[in-house]
Amino acid sequence: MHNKSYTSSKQPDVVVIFEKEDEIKGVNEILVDQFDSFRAVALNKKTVNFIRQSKPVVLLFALCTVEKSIELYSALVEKNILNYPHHTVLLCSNKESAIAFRCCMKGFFDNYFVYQPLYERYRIVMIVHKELKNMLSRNELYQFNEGNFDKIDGDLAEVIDSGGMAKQALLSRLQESRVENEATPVLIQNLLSSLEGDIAESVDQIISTLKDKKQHYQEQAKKSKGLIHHQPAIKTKEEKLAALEARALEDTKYLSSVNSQESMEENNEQADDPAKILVVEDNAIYRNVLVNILSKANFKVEQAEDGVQALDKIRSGSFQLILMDLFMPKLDGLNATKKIKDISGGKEIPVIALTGNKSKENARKWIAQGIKGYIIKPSDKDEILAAVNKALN
Amino acid sequence: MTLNSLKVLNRQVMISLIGNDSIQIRQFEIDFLKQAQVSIKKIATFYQLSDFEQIKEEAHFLKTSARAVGAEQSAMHLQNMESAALKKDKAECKELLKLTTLSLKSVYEEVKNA
Repeated sequence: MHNKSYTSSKQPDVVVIFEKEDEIKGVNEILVDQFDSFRAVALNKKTVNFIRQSKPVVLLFALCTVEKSIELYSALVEKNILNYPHHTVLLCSNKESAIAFRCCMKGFFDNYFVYQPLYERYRIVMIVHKELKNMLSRNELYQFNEGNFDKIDGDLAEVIDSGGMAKQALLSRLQESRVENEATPVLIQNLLSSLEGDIAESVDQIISTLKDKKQHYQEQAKKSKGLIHHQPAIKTKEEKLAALEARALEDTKYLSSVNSQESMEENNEQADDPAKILVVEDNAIYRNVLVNILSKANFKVEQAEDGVQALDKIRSGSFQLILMDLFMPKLDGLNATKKIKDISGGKEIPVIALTGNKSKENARKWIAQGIKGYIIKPSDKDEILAAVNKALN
Repeated sequence: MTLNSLKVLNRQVMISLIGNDSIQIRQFEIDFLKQAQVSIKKIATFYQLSDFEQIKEEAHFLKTSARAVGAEQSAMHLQNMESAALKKDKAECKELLKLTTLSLKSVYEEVKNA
């Protein structure tokens, strides 16, 4: 049984903030027996002031609901009360453990403990002990008060002790080598700063040069009625010949690409109503490249940067085709494809996957989800238009 | 494919994607450099935190645009970084972060001098 008060420590390292004392009684009794510098404080007008003055390094939030604990901790952070290194533990009821888990996975709280019902009394001590160990820089490490725990076999206790010491020695050695390893990011940081400085200085300059050039070309175009020829100065007969040959080769390539593009664009123009395509890709640069290609081929194009935005667009408009990245934040391509089936009311909208990695296993998965084809990023324009036309036909 | 056979900035890649529109290509290159600046900072932070999953995702993200604009050497380093992050090989991630940053600097020089 506990024999200390859990409301007496004036500069506690560990603090529990609670609303209803009877709900937290079990936890308090365990903690007060184990940690000398512990205090339980009721949530009232004095709480904030107490936290500000005592600066506990481990705070346990045990309000009636997880939501209230979240609100309180957010307020303490926002008001700059907890403006020092600290760790937090959320105490919650079993029915709210999923929210508590999410809070910890998102990095809001450092840990959580189910205290209603209280059936893991050793675990709360371990959690608080670990958080304290992480936070205390001084050598004032808390030792377990073994008297409070069930007796175990002497030999086993010895094995645990010596094993624990061996592991700590190993971790120290790893930490030393890690510190050595961390010293080099200075070089990377210097490179980054230099890259950042260079880019910042000249992006404006490049844009301004581009504008000047654009204006110059436009003026030239007007003067030559749209025909622009750039021919570098040529000195010898051989150079002239070589240049003409190179020019002829370029022209042939250009004509062939124009013909292929024109035939695809014609196909689309001939249609009474050009197909409406949704491009879903989180990388803005690649998304703009696709939009550019499809728009030039006279498709109606809309864009979305993740699966959630794509679903909104699909709900509010009809598309004949969707080009979708498979790896996106919020809602990835495969899950978005499943949901598209649900919301399109039985109408099947073909989806083409945009991917940087095509394996047989992935391809099987995509087909099972109803994906009609794929485009390896970045395919060239002809390949992209061919895949689009194939899916539309 | 070896690094030597890859170009710092292969403009034919963009030409094959959007056509020979030098102004638009240049705009994509500038956008890429801006994006790379942000991504490399993120990767450096994830590296410090040993967050290999995030390193992999960010490297994959930047690789997509590096390939699109024809920054072939950067794309290859980023591809290797994805693999290193998958193996949780911190030393290799560090080396590749350095190489990627250097290759991006070369891209920047080419864009600036074009």
